[in-house]
Order: sequence, then C-alpha cells, then structure tokens
Amino acid sequence: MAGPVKNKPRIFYGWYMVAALMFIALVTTGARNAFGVFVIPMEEEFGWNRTTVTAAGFIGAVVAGVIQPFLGRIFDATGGRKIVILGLIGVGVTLILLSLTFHIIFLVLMFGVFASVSAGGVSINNTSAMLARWFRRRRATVMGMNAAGASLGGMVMVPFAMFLLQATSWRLTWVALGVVILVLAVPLAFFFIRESPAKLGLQPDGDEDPADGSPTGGSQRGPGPLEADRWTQPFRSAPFWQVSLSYMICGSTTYMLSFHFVPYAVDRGVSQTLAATIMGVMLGLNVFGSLGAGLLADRFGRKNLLAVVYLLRGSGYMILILPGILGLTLLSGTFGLWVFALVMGFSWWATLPLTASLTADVYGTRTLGTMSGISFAFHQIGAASSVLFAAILYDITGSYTVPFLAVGLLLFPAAFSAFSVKERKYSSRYVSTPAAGAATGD
Amino acid sequence: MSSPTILSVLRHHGESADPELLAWIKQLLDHILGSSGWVIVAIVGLALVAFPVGLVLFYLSQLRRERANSYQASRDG
Repeated sequence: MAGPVKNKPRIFYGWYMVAALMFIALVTTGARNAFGVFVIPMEEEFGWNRTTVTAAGFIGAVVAGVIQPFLGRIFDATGGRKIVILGLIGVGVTLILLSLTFHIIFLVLMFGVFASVSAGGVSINNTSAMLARWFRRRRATVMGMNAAGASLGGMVMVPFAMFLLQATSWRLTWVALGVVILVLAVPLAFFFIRESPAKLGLQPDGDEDPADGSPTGGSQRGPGPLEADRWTQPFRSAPFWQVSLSYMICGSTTYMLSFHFVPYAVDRGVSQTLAATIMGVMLGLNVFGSLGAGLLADRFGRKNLLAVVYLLRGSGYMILILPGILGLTLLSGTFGLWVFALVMGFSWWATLPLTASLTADVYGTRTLGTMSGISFAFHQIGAASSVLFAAILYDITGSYTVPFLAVGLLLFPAAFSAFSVKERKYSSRYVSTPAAGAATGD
Repeated sequence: MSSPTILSVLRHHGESADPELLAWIKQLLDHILGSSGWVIVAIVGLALVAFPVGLVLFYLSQLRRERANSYQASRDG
C-alpha cells in the first residue's frame, strides 16, 4: 500500500466487530431457537397442550416483526451501541426469569413479548446496519458472516440446551442460557462494539484516510443519489418497494416451510424421522448459503444475485410440488425432498446479506436501522400470513399442494422485482468509482 | 377470522425448534457420543467461553504489539 502509513493496525478493528457480533448473534438466536427443547418438559409439568405452548413462540415471531422498525429508529437515533447492549441484557434477564414460569400467560409475556422486544434490539437487522458503517467493499461478506453466526446459533445452542436439560432441569437450563448471554456476550459487546470507524479515527474497510493524500481509498465513494437523511425518504423511491416486497415473499416462503415442511413430508409418506433429518440438513446448509451469498455479492453485485436466489428457491418449490401433479415418480418421492432441501438450504438465509447490503448501498447508513426494521416487518407480514394461509388451505383441501404451489410461484415475480432494481444508477458502489475493482452489476 | 382457525395454525407447527425434530437430533447425538450429555455440555460450554476470552486476549496482544511498533517508530524517526 502506497502513501505515508501511520502505524496502521495490522488487523482492521472492523474484523473484531464482526467476530464479536457473530458470537452475539450465535448466542442470542441460538438461545431463542432452543425454545422447542423446553416445550415437552413444560407441557408435562403444567399439563399444557402443544398449541398453547407453541402460541408463545408464534406471538414472539409476530412481536419481533412489529417492534423492529421502532427499535431500528432508536438504533439510528442513538448510534446503536447502547441498544445492542441493553437488548443483550434484556434477553439474558428474560431467559433467567423464564426459569420462574408458573403460568402460560407468564410464558407468553416473557418469551413472546419481553424476550422478543429485547432480541429486537440486538437483532441481525440492527447489527448488520452497524457493520454497514464499518465496511463498504466487503459489506455483503460481513453481513453474510453475521447471518451465518445466527444460523450456527441453532446448531450450537440447541444441543447445549438439550443435554443440559437432560442432565439438570428445564428451570436450570433457562438460567444457564441467560447466564451465557449476561456473562459472555454482554461484556464482549461492551468491550468491542463501537458505533462507527470514525469514532476510532478509522475509515470503512480499514482504508487510508483520503485527507492523507493516499492514492488508495476504495471505500471513499460518494453517496448514492437516493441517500436518505430521514427514514421516510425511501418510501418515495422504487428500490425500497422492489426490495421490501420481494423480502415479504421471502418471509412467506421460509416461514411456511418452518411451520409446515415436516407435516408436508410426512403426508408424502416419509417417516417423521426422515422428515426431521431433511429439515435439519436444510437448516445446516443455511450457514454456507449466507456466507457464500455475501462473498459473491461483493464480487458480482447484489441485485442480480438476489434475483438468482429467488429464482433458485422458486425452482426448488416447483421441484417439490410439480412432480406430484405431473406424475414424475423420481422427483415426487424422497429424492425430490432431498433436492428441495439442497436448493432451499442454500437460499434460506442468503437473501438477508443481499437485501441488507443492497439497502445500505442505495439509501446509506444514516437510517439503515429503521429501513432494515421496516423491511423485516414486511418479511414478517409475509411470514405470518403465509403460515395462516397454508393452515386454512390445508384444512379446506386436506393437502399442502395449493399453498406451497402458490408461494412458490410468487418467488418468480420476487426474482423479477429484485432483478429490476437499478443498482448501477442508485447504489453508492457505482457512484464516483475510484481505484478498487468494483463488481459488475446491471 | 375465528379463533379456532388462528389456533389451527399452531397445530400445523413443525418449525426448526420442533420438539420432534429436537428429540431426533438428541437421539442421533446420543448414538454417536454415548448417553453422556455432559460431554456435549462441557464441549459447547468450553467453546462458548473460549471464543470471547480468546478474542479479547488476541485483540490485547495485537494492541500491545502495535503500541510497541509505534513507540519504536517514534524513537527511530
């Protein structure tokens, strides 16, 4: 690197932020994913039925969607560090309080409301918005890493909770999950989380300060034409709607699967165990999907890749449903389920780093917490309505074919919507491009 | 929307944290590692502690190194 180097750190501080936020995403998402571990022991102790206990989880998903835009607004107004730390403390304390559960209303309030609101403060939306300030050229990569941390959370924390519960009790296991967050994640956040590189006298991506006359400075691009100072501004432009509406379809296709895939596979004649195995593999592939999507997006641009992800997912749904209708025996059996799991697994979380980085590139980082929160609300609207839609249609038709086909078909307009975003015109990646070899986009 | 319809959503539940799926994962891990759940608890617990502690120690060692380099550069220059 040319120019006067002033004891530049060997490792850019942003990478410590990435590592800390990955760990935070892992423990918070993982602890919440472990809810299912507690269902049976709590049912047994209190005599609740499955629907009653699951209601807490469902309410939690709805609350998370509703609250996120407001938390995003607070995030943007305060800089983010405080809300991340407070959110972590809230999650930790709520998990510990869950050990005192004595009534279903207490469970719904603690897990469905308080834990969801607290988790919203430290959500992937907010932490990705924070990382967007630290990275420009590698923005999608670090967002993908952050999402992979959350995805890994289920794989790490769920077995941890499961075996701890077996060895101790469900009450002690809630306490342990809360303690992990309070003792490990909170101090880590306190130590590492800084709101922006400017606060440490650094530039995004660890580049040289252009004021030093350095010829480098790949991050030093100007703002895009739609850079927003107020959170209401993006509503008046097309990319916000193109990205958010396709993200709503994303929510409907993933949540429908979360809730209905296992029963659907069992209806197709697959055993419960095999259905669970396929679902587990699909969830495991998320990690690679989000990491790969982030890396590729920084190389090749965001919107085309986002369109490809939606196309792939739509094709996956068609592979799942059409062979049964058309009588194609090979794909209508277990093999078809595995092909679907492969396609869906890679595309499941891949939309998150792509959507978040595209939003950051187009609208800037000043209102990104709010924008991501609103996009996430769209995601959750799609999620809740599709779960409801599938359940109602299942009760009417006796099968999942119609709802799965319907949401699968919606993925094709979603792909078109993403593809039609004018990334080269609006994204800051393509405005006043200096040295760094930017990607191809439109 | 009637409440039985809304509640029917929950009967379709089969999400990632589904108890049946988790029971199957546990059975598989029991089969691989034997029935000692404490092994998993200990391994995951250690990893959870090691990551943040390791990250802080690594950061502090880098910081000390950079300060030493900076001090050396100021003496040389």
